[in-house]
Amino acid sequence: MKENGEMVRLVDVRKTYHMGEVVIHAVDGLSLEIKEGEFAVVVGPSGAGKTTVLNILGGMDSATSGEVWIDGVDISKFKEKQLTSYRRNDIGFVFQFYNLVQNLTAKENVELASQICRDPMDAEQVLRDVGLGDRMDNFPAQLSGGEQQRVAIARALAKNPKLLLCDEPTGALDYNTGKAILKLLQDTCREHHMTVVVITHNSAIAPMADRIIHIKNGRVSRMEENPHPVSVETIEW
Amino acid sequence: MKKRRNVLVKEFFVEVWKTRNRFLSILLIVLLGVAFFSGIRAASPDMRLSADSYYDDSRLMDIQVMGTLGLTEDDVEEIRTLEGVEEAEPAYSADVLCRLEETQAVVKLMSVTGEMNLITVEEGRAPEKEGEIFMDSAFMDTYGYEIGDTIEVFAGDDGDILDTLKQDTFTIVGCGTSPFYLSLDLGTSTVGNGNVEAIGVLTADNFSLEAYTGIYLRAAGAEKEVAYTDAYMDVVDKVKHRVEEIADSRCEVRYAEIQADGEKQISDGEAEIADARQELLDAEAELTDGEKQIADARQELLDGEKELEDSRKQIADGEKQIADGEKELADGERQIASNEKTIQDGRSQIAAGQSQLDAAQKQITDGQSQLDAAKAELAQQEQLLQNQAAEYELGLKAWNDGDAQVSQGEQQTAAAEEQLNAQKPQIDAAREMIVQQEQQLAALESMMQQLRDQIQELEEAGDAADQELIAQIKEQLGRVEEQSAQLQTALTQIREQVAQYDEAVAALAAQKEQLAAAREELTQQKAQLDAAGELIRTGQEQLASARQTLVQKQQELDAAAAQAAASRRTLNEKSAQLASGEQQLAAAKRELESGRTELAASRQKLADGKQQLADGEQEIADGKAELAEKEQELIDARAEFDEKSADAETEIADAEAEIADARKELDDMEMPEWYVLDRESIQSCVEYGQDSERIEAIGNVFPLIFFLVAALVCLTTMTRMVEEKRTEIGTLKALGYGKWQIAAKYIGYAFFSSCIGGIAGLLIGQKVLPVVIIQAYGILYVNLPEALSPLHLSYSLTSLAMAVVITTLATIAACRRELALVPAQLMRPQAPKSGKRILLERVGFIWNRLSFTGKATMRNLFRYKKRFFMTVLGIGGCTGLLLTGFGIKDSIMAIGELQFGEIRVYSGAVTMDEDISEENEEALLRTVENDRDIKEWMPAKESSVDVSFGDEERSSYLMVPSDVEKLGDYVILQDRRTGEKKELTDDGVVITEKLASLLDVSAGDTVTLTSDDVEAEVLVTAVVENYFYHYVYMTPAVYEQVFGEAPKYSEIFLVNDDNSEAFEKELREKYMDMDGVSGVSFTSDVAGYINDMLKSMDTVIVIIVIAAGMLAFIVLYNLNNINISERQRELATLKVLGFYELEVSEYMFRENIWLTVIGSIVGMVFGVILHLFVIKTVEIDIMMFGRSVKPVSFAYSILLTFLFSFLVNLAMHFKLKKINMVESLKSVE
Repeated sequence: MKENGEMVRLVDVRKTYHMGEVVIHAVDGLSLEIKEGEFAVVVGPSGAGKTTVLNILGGMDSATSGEVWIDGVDISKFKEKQLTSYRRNDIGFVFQFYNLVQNLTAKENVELASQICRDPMDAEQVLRDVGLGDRMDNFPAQLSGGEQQRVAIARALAKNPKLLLCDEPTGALDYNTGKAILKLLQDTCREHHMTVVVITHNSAIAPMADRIIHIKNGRVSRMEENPHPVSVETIEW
Repeated sequence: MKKRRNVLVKEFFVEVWKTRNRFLSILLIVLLGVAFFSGIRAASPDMRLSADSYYDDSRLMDIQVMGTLGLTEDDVEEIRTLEGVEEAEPAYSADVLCRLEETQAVVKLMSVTGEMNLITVEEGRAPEKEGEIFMDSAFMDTYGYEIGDTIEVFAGDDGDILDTLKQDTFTIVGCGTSPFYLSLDLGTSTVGNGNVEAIGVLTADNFSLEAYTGIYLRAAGAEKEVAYTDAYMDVVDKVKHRVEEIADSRCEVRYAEIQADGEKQISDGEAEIADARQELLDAEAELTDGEKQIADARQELLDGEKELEDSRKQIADGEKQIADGEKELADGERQIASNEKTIQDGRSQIAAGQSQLDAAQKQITDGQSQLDAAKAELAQQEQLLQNQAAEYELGLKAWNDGDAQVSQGEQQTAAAEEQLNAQKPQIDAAREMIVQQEQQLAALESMMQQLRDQIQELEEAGDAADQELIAQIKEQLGRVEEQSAQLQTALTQIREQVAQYDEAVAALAAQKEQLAAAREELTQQKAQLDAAGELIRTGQEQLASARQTLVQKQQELDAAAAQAAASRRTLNEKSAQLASGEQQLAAAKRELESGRTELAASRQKLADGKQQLADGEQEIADGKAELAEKEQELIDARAEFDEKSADAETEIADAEAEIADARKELDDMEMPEWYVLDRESIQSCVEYGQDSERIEAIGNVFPLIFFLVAALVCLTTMTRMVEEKRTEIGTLKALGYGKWQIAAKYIGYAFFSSCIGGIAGLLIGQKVLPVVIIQAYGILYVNLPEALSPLHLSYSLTSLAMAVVITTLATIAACRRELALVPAQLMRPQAPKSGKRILLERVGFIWNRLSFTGKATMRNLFRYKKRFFMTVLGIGGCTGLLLTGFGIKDSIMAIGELQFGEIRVYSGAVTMDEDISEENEEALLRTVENDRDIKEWMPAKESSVDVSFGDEERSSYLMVPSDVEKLGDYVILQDRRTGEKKELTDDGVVITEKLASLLDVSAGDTVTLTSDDVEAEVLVTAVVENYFYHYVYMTPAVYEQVFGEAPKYSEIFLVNDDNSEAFEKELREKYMDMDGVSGVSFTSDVAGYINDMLKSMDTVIVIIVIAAGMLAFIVLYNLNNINISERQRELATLKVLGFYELEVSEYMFRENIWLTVIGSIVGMVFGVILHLFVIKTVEIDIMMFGRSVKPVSFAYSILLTFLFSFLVNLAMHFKLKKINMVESLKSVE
């Protein structure tokens, strides 16, 4: 079912949580598609269902109903183990709080991911690529927030994933650092022709994306393709 | 304010519920800690309490008094009056042998003692009268006895059983237990094979002993105290002391009593001897009298003989006179006899004549009667003849008549014949006429026939014309028929005439025949008649001649009768002549008779004289015989007397010697001694006490570990809790709550969980553990009826307080740090523990070789130091406990294995009596020498000796081998650590290790030996390995030097090939039977004792294993829980990165495995130390447990630890599965 150049396609995805007697529809009939090599930004207010979408995309959670096509495979019916393999080989994840293992050095954190996947990139190379060539043996505690996030991005990239998912990657960073990180992500997308999905509540960064997906109340309120994305540097917020 | 507080209280309970696992884990670890602390500590007092309860229930004696010379009723009374003696009862006891099917067993008999030492009846009843016995249950079971069976006992030594008992057969009336024996081991004895195998209780009246063997007493107030405690000992010691105080005086009394008894017996004996002497003298005097009497009798006899000679002469004269008279008388008799003969002859002549006469007379009479008979016969013949003649006459007459008749008949016949002959021609004519007439008749007939035929023809023609003719013819016919009828009648008349004639002719012929027959008969009769007439004539002639002869005979007879009458007359004359001759002879006879009477009288006189003489002679002879007899008697009596007096002298001498001996014995008799013993003298009682002490020692060590771990677990758990609640604390603080208000929640949390856990723990611990331990010992102490496990206030309070205080303090410490921070800091997430390089990274060559995961694991291990140490401590504690548990068993086993496998390698020993005679000793040695069952043997001395050094003193065995060179075959002297062999030299002594450590002596020191009041200082040349009892080894030379005399070897050490039970039993019985052998012991006996100890240890080890497992589990589980919750984010990230579940678990397990490995290593070190400590604490003075733990025990401990660790990891795996990845996306709280 893979259409030409298509990487992600969600069809009428719903996710329902039962909180006691209350039923919450975190995602309620959401459909979207992202092409291969695109830099997509998912924006929406708090509670709109951004994170749920990301969880479903990242194989950390499964949809209650609907189809989730990733590179031509419907993962919505995957079992736990298949989902783990999917996460292991196809997904790179960048967290808002970096989630580095404190006890491991920058390089070791990258290795933590690269040692388990099929076709890893060289850990040191990746670290150099993200500009941490000389901080490889530092522990996370010895790195600044931006540097830690770079390590996290390096860790995600090292797995050579099909899809790089970033959850508020700049949420815990200051403005400049945040910009630098977004730049890194945009560059990665362009240079490695990697599909990158960034989730953010900051719609200001939308212009830098190839595709902007607006989510509201668990649905895609608007999805627009930006034929002329701008560089991060030009964006102010 | 109040309302707010309520909110906090409510929040507290919500918190408890939400974190119930944490709450429970604190509760459980505290429970475990408190349970072990209070439970194991309570076990020892509970053991004592249980025993005390049994002792009190059975009113077991507190003190027993035994005297070397026995005890009397007075002693009992005296003891009863002592202060503090509640009651005192005398008792008998004796060790005897009992016959069993194939063997014999030593039975300890005890008398029933009133209200003390009560037996517990399990079956049947207590003995009530003589002949009844109560046996212990074990004996009944072992040897298959039933109530109602009888047992027979006999003395173990040469003595008579009846000296001890009134009878030797008893009926078993019941079985059960005696409080003297808690365990199945009934101790030793000096009889039989030395092992007491049964207890028999019987009433005191069964014993026939002269004095009591013991007195049992109970101290007032002792029952209130718990046995084995100091308080109890104080009470008992006081009374014991008082009894000891009167002991000397009572002993003196007893001594005096026995002395007095002895004296009395001696004086009785002396009196008896004096009596015997007097009897001897009396007998001598009697003999002398007898001799005198015999001399007198002999004189009397001589006098009697002389008198007798005189009388004999007189008698001879008388005899001569009588002989003359007799001659005269004989002549007269002769004359009379000849006259008598003459008369006799005459009389016989007369008699002959008479008989001749009588014969003749008889002949005459006979002749006459013959004659008369002949005459009668003749007459008869005559009559007969006359009758015949008459008959003849009659016959003749009849014949004549017959003849006449016949003749007449013949004449008639002749006349008839003539008539007939005359009639004849007429008849012939008649006959002619008949024929003619018949012819006429026939012509008529045929004419008639013709007529009839004519009629017929006519009639048939039927012609009336003919009728006339017919009638004519018929008329013709009628006429013819009339003619025929006339002719017929005429014919019939003629025929009748002819018939009459023929009849007459026939009758005449018959008559003629008859007549001829009659004539014939007559002729015969005539011949007969003629013969008869001839006979009658000859008969008449014979009768006439017989009549003639008869007349002749009558004449002859008459002549003979006349002759006989003449002869009778002559005979009568002769007979009268003879009668007068006889009268004359009778007169002569009477004369002779009177002469004879006279002679007889004088002869009688003479005979009387002779008789008198004979009597006299007889008397003399009798007198002589009697005299001879008496003389012989006297001689015999003399001989007997001589003999008897010699015997008597010997006897008297013996008796005197005996008395002298008795006196000596009495003089030598030592003052008796009293042994005042308390319950320490009861073997099983003491062993039980020692076991309870051992448990106490374990209780001092083990629970502490649990407590320590519990405290640390609480500390980490609470610290973690406070850390988790950092934001909440900050918020509350920001809201303005005071420090203590906030801390109260956590302190309360810790307090409640530890309090509940502690209370549950002390209940479970004190109720369950002591019972389990006591029951474990129950294998040994089967007679202990019940296990008591009351709650001990002291243990409860201390353990509970400790648990609560420690956890609460740990919580306060955890809270302090957080509470010290300002709210702003608290609101910020706690900086995660930063990673850093560990020491190992500097060691490049190891670090570089580690895989990535290895490195990560190592870093993680050392990152959480608290967790690291906690886990290592928990696991180490687990391994250590296990190792200690197994090690204790190893150590106890080592006693048997090392002591009898490597140190004291001999098989057994034969112990001789102290006063064994030389022959017996030689015999024994010879037997041993020749015994094929015994491989090697060596005499040695083994005795008790007190060894002291400084203030310490211990009693020990002194062993002196007879041959120092050979000692190595029996006992190996070596250093335990180095294994270096030590030599026994004449320089000093070698002592055993435990003794050395107790006295704090080492080689080169000089110790003091005390034995039998001899005190000597000797140099210790070496200290050697030994595990059971203490020994001081010494060469004979040193012994002689120290004690001033050569050692007397009382033991024979043996080495046998066979160590089987049956073999040893046989050997034991063989040697026990020998004189002078007091005991046979085998090293295997001790091995059995050690095995019993091991049995009770098994349960203790199980408890330790379970405890260790629980400890490991709770600690690991708790710490892992904390670890996971602390690192939840990290684990979630790993999952997001695509780690499989197993990989995530592995990531954690790798750390746990390392922790387990490190913990085990630490645990082993800890275990070895703990084991050594426990062993040293637990072991009793007389033994040294093995100091080392076997490799296999290490293996078991480690394997078990890993097993526990694995189980925890398994539980963790499921917990890890539940970690939600979404957690990783959340911001740090």
